[in-house]
Amino acid sequence: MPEHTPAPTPHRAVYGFAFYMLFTVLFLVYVTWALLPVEFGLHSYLPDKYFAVFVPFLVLVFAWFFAFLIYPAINLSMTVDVDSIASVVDPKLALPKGTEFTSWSQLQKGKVSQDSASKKASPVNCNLCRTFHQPVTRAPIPPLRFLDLQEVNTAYYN
Amino acid sequence: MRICMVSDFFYPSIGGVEEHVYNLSQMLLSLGHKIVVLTHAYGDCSGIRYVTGYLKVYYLPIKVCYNQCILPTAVCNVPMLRAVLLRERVEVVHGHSAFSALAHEALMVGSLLGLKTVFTDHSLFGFADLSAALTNNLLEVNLGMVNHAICVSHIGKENTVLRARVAKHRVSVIPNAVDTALFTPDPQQRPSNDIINIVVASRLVYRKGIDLLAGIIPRFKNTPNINFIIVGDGPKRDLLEEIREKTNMQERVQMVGAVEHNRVRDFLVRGHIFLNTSLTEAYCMAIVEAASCGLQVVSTSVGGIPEVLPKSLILLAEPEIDAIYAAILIAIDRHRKSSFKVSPSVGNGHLASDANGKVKRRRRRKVDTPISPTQLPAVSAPPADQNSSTEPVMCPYRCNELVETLYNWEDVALRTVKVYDRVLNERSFTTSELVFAVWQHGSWFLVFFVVAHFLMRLLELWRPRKHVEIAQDVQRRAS
Repeated sequence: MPEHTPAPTPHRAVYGFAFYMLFTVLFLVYVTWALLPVEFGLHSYLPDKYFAVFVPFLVLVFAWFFAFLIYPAINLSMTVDVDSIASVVDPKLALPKGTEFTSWSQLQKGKVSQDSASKKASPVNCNLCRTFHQPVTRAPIPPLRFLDLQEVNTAYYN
Repeated sequence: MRICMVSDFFYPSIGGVEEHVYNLSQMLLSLGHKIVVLTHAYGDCSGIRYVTGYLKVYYLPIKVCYNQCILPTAVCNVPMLRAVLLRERVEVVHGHSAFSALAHEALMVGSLLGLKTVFTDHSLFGFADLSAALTNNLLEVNLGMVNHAICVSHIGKENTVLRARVAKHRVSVIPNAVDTALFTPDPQQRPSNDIINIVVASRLVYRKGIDLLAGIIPRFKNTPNINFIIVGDGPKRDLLEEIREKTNMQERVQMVGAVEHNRVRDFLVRGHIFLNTSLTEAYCMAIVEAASCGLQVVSTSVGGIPEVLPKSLILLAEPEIDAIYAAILIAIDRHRKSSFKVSPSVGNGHLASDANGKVKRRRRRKVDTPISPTQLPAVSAPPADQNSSTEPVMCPYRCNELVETLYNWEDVALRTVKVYDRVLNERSFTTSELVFAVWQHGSWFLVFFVVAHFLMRLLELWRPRKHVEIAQDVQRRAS
């Protein structure tokens, strides 16, 4: 079935070579247009040579504006307010799916349900190894969860 | 030691890099180090958060550009990164993943601040397409400024040394690890009859070889006791659904969909054989997790996979449908020959051995019929490993014990600390050395580097280091 594939194929190689030749020719045309003297009489058929310098400068100035003004401004606008709930907790992650955030007690309730049931398995008699296997007693790495603000304050200031 | 982990990929995003950063941070915290994680904001998850073990995570407010990565401008985030690194008094900046633009920017800022920098690479890269060429170029420039690099396999190290042109003595190999206490076998979950479950757990994308899997599933159309459990989601899921409908295997191919990482074990323990059809892998975490759960592993022999598991735990095959099918048949045959059965421990050893003997005799009579050579389908491709059919199947619990000795996070954390100690004993790069490295690897990047350098000088005038407010450390550890 015909599908897009990232594997290198001769078909893509042909396109790559064609694009390489196309851009090489376009670059030569651009340099020729910028450097050919006007005495050849071609200037009336081609755009003004001023644009050969103006357009690259326009691109560079826009890139500078984007890197130093527009993108930092976007990032600053993404910063949450100090009085916003998102500055200390993300309700969509802390609460069950579809639940609306109404009060702080909901976040506390979620913490209580974190029960740690420890299963004490007995040694397993294995007929293949002809011995008894001891169960793994080391605790696993605890799963990732956001700590409640109360726990963080207790750890910092008590 | 104060370490800053930087990556574009962290929770709430799910993936291998996220698991690696989190588990490594937890183990380093348990060793007594101070760890801070830097990543970008995920929607409302913005600002400073604390996760398990009082691990501090900075969700920086940076706009995401493509595939959960920020726009690689190299100069936009210099003030913010500098502020975080100075506030936390970071000594080592540890970037993760070559795809992470935030990691590259933080490593550059760390070098300019005189901090030590370490980079971990998690992927293999090709040399054939435009995105790989661009990423190789950027990685080459950045690794010229990094004190040390870590790869997850020797194949990964070879790949990084080739494409980033970094000196090989500055690259260490520290494999990924698996939490064997979390991925424990449970043979009771397996079906009690003669059904054999083949588990596939991966993202359903081209790179994971789902096209090979789509070619293998129809070959088991006429063997009714072989079932598939496919865990994961992705663009190729429609292809698998189509194959399932076309071959009328709706009851025997179970499509689970996307599953949280801590719930993957519940599906692994139900299986007997784990199938991995990746086309390229630096280090396959899924096969280590499956081996830890006691499954027989059948995998393609690509990238770093041959060095991940020993021969007793894995069956390797070329990335072709015939070879993978032959390897699966060998795994099924080995499983049928195995007489593994878990019985509750009894006080009288004599009775136990007698019961085992009876079960063994009965099973042998039953097994004689299916393994007749004339009934097995003819295979045109020989398996990659000629001796694999004679090795006995290992007990699931023995698999878990073996994986625990091979890969555990304590060992990975200790080796990483050795890398940190080594880079801390080295001399910091001077600005002229950094300029020479950038000029040598990619002179086009000098523009951004010089702008970032003068931006740092300007920030030093505007907000000097001695005036930066130090972040407070957590004093108490949760019980």
